[in-house]
Amino acid sequence: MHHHYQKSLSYKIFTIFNYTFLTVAALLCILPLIHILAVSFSGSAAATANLVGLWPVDFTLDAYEKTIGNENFLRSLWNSFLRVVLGTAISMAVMLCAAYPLSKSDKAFRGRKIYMWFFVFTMLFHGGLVPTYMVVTKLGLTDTIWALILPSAVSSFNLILLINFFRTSVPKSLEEAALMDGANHFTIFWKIYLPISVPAIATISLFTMVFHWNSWFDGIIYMSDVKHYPLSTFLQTIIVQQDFTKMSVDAETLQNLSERTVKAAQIFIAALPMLAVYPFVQKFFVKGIVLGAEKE
Amino acid sequence: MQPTVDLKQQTAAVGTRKQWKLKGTWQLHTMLLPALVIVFVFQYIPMLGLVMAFQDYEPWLGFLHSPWVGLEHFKTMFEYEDARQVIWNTLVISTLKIIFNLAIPLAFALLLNEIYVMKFKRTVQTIVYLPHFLSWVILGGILIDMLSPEGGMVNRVLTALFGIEPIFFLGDNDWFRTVVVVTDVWKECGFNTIVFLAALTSINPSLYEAAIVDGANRWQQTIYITLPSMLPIIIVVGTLSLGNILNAGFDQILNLYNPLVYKTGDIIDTYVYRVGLLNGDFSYATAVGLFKSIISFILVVTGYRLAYKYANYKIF
Amino acid sequence: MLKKVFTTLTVTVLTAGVLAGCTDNESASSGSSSESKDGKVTITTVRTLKDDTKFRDGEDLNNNPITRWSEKELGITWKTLWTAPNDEQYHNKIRLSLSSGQKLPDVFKVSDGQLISDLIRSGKVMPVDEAIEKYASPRLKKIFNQFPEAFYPATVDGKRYGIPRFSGGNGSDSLLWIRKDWLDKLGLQPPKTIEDLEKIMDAFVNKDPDGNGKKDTIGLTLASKNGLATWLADGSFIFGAYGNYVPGSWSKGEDGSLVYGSVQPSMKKALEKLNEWYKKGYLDKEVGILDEQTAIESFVSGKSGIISAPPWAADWPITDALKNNPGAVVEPYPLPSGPDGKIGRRGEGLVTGMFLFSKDFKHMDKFFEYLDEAFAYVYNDSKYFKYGLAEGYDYVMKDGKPVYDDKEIPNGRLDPGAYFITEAIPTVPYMLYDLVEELYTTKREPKNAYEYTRIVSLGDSFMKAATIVNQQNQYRIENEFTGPPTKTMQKRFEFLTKMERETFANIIYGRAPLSAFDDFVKKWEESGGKEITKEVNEWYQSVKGEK
Repeated sequence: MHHHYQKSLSYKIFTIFNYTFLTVAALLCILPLIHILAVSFSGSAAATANLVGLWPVDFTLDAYEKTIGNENFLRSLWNSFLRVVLGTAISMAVMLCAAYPLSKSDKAFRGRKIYMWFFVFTMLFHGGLVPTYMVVTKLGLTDTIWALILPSAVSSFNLILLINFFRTSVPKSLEEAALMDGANHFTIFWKIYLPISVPAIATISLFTMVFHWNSWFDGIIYMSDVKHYPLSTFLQTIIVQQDFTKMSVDAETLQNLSERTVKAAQIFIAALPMLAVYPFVQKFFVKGIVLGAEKE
Repeated sequence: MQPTVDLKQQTAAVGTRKQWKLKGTWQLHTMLLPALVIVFVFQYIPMLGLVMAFQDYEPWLGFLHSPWVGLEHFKTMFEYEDARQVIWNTLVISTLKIIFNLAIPLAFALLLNEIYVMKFKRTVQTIVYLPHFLSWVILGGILIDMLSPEGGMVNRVLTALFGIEPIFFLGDNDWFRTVVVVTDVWKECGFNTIVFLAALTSINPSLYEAAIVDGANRWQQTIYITLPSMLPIIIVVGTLSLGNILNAGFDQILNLYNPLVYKTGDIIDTYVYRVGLLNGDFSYATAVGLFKSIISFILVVTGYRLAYKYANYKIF
Repeated sequence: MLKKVFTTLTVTVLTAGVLAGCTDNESASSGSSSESKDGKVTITTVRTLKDDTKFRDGEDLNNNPITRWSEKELGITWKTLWTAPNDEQYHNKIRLSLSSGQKLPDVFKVSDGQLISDLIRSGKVMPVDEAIEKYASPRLKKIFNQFPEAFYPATVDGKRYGIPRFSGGNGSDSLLWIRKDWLDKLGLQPPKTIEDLEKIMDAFVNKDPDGNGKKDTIGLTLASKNGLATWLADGSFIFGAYGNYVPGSWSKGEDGSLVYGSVQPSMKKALEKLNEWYKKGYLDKEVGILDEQTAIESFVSGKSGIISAPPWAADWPITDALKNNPGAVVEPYPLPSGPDGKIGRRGEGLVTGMFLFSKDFKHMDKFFEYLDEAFAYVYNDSKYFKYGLAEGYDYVMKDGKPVYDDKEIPNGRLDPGAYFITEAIPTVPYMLYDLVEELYTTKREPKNAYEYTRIVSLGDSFMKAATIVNQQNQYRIENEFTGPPTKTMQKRFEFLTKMERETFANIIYGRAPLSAFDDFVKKWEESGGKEITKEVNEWYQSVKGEK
C-alpha cells in the first residue's frame, strides 16, 4: 500500500500533524467517560464539591457496592437485556423482510414508490404522545414488554440503510441465476440476500440495540411499576434533577441527591455493555452503512 | 440478455418471467406485510391525533368532543412576542449544525483515510463514536465544568496557549451558539464519519492509479478525485439532515442554556417546553410539532427532487 | 382496487372509533373500591415512588408494615395500581389515563394546578365538603380549619374537591449558614444587617480567609438559573431586606390584593445590590447559569463563605463541606435586615399536593379514619404506634426500651412512613419546627421514632437552625396564588417569565442598566401582566369567598 507520494517531505509533515490531531481529537472524545469513571470511584464529598477531574479523589468502591446492592438496578438491567434481545430480533426480522421487496426496482415491484413514501412519511410526521398511548393501551400492551418493542419496531431510517445495502451489495447475476433455476423470492431472500448481508445486519442491529438500550420515556409511560422499568428509564429517574420548588424537601430525600458518585457508577455500568459490543461490530460499519443508492 | 441466444429460448425466458412476476408480487407483498401493519398501527393511526392541533383539546372530552378552534394555535405561535427570535435562533443553530456536521466528519474521514496503521485508525474511529452513547443530561453537566470561566479546562488551555482572559462560554451571547454547534459536532460526528469512510473505500482505485501516473500529489488527488466522488453521498446526507432544519437540538439546549443567553439560544422546542410546563397543553405542542413536520417534509421532498433532477441520484 | 379502498376505509373508521370511544366507555381495567361482608374495603390508589424508598426483602407498596396494619386494624386493603418515579412523570401518566378514558383510582394525589383543575372540570372527581363534615375526626377538622387556604388549589365555585397533603410549612425556608472559622480568623462578628453582611463578604473575598495565598474565594453562594427565590442557595432574603416581596411570588400588596413580587419597585434596590456584589466579586462569576445543585459546589468545595439554605442543609450539603475542608466550622445564623430593618424570606407553600377522589369512591369514612390514625402518630396520640411505626424498621426493643439507633436495627433503619399514601409521615405546617424548637430548648429525650429520626438524629446544628427559622416565621413571604394558571397566564406567562429572568440576569451582570427594570415592569403590565393580576385576584376572591 505504499505509494511514492508518501515519501515526499510535505506528506511526512502532514502525517505527523495528522497523527497528532487525531490523537488529540480522540482524547477529547474519551475525556467525559474518564471523568465519569473517576467520579464513580471518588468519595461523595469531593464529588458534590466537583473536585474530581480525571482521577478519583478519596478512592473508594462504595458507589459500586451500593449500585450492585440496589435490587431495582439489577432488575432493570435484566429488563433492558430482555428488551434489547427481543426488540432487536423482532425489529431486524420485520425490517429485513420489508427491505427485500423495497430493494427491487420500480419495474419489478409495482407500487414500490408508494410503499417507500409510506415509510419515509413517518420519519417526519408523528401522531404524538396521547394518541400513541391510546393505541398501545387499547391493544392491551401496557405493562408488557411489547409496549416497548412493537411501536418502534420499524425505523424508516434503518430501513433505508438496509434497502440501499441490498441494492448495492447483492450481485444481480446471482439473483438472476437463481431465478432461472426457478427459485422463489423467499428462497432468494433466505439463501442469497441474508448470507451476503452480514455487515448490514450487524450494523443495523447495533443501532437498534443502542436505541433500545437508551430509550427511557416509553418505560415510564407504559410500565406501571418500577419493577418493569428498563435500565435507562430507571437511570433517568435518578439522574434528572427534580424541581423541588413544588415538593416538600427533607434531609432524607436530599441525602440521595448527594450521591453523585453512585449516579456516575450507574451511568458507567449502563454504558458498559454498549462499549463492550461496539468495537466488535464496528468493523462491519464501513461496509454495513450504505447511504445513497447507485445512480440510475 | 446475450445477443447470441436464439429466438426460441428468449421467448421462453420472457414467458417464465411473466409468470414468475405475477406469483412473485404476491410474495413481495407478503414480506412487506408485517412492517406495513406495524407502521400503520403505531404510526399512522396515532396521526389521527394530529387533529388536536386544531382543537382546544380537553383530555376528558377526547378527539371527537373537544371544541374546534381552527388555526388558533398556529396564530398564537406567530403572535408570540419572541416568535421571530426563537425561529431565527432555531434556523441559525440548525443550519450551522447541518453544515458542520457535514464538513467536519468529511474532513475527519479524509484524515483517517490517510492513516495506514490499521490499529490506530480503528481505535480513533471507535473513540470518536463514544460521546454518542452519552446523553445530554450527563454531558451537559460535564460541559458546564469544562467551559467554566473559573478554572474550566478549556479556559485553562486557552489561557496557557494564547494568554487570553477566561471566556464565559455559556453565559455570553457571542459564544453560546458556537458552543452549541461545536459540542453537537463533537458528540455526533462519529456516525457521519463512518458513512463518509464507507464512501471513501468504495471509490474506484484505478482512478487514483491513473492520477499517480499523471504525477498528481495526494492533495491534488483529494481535490480532483476524492471530493467529486464523494459529492453524491454528501448530497444524500445533506438532504436527509434537511428534515432537521427546525430541530436545533432540544435536549442539548435545555441542558446548556440559561437566562443570560436566551437572546441567542432559545429555540422553538425549548419555548414549547416552557409553555407546556406551565399549562400542560397538548394542543399547542401538537400544533407546533405539526408546523415543524410540514416544513421539514417540504424541504426533504424538495431536496429529494433536486438530487434526482440535478445529480440523477436516488436516495431511497 | 375498490375492495382495497373499502378495507382501508373500514380500518380507518374502526380506529377512529377506538380513539374516540375512549371518552364514553370506561375500561374496567383498573379495579374499583369494593366492600366485603365484614366491612373490610379495598381502596385503589396510584402514587410516586422515588428511587430512595427502600423495602425489606420481598415487600413492596402493597405488602409492608403499613398496609398490613391498615388491613388488620382498620380493615382497609390498599391497592397501588401504578407508580411513577417523579412528579412530572406521575402527572403525565394521570393526564394520559384521563385522555384515554381509563377509570381513575379511588384516591390519588395531584400537585399540578392545571391538572387538578382539569380533573375537577371533567366531573370525574367528587366534592368533599359533605364528607369532611360527616366523617373527618375532630382532630382533622381542627387542622383543616386552621389552614383554610390549604384547600384553595382544589376549590371551585365554593366547593372543595380535595384534601391537602400538607408541607412542613416552613421546612424549606432558608437562613444563613456561614463559615464560622473564617469569621473567627478574620475577627468578624456574625451579620445583623445587610451592611454587616457586605463587610463580611468583602473580607471573605479580599482577605484570603482560606489562607492559600490566592484571591480565589467568594462571599455568597447563590443559585439563579431557576429564579433567585428558591429552595437552596436562596437569594430571596436580599429582596426581603428591601421590601415585602420576593421574585416569582404572588403575595399581598398594601391594599390586601395579590400582587406579583417581581414587578414591585423594591426589586430594584435588591437588583442594584446584586449587581454591585457581582462587580466586587462577592458572587460566583457563573451565578447566572447556576442552578441549585451546581451552585452549592462553591460552598462545598470551600470557595465560598456564606450560603442561604434551609435547616436540613446541616445534613446535606454542609456535612460534605466539612469533609472537604478539614477544620471548617459552619454555623447557622438568622437572616440579616435591610436599611429600614426589614427582613423577608421566601416561604414554602402550605401544601405539596391535593388528594382527589374518584366520583365512584364510596369509603370517605375509611379514608379519614386512616388519615386520622397517621396524624395520631405525629401528635404522639396513637393507639397503634407507640415508639415508632414498626418494630424492626424504625426502632427495636432492647431490654423493654425502644432503641432508634441505625446500627442497632438489623439490616439498618427503614422509614415505613414512606409507605403511607401521604408518601411520608404526614405533617401539619409549622408543627415539625415547633417540635424541634421545643426539643432544642428543653433538651428532652425523643419520645418516639419520629422525633428521633426527623429531629434528634439530624444533630444539634440542624436543631439550632430549625429553631432560628421558626423564630423568624413572621418574615415569611408566601406565594398565595395556588390555583390553576389563569387564561391570560396560559397565553402570556411564559413570555413574561422569560423576560423577567433575562432582565434580572442582565442587570446583575451589568449588561443592562438598572433602568431596564422599569422598562421591564412597563412591558410586563402591557403584555398581559395587568390582566393576569386581575384574574389572579378574581380567583383569590372566589376561593376566599366561601366559609
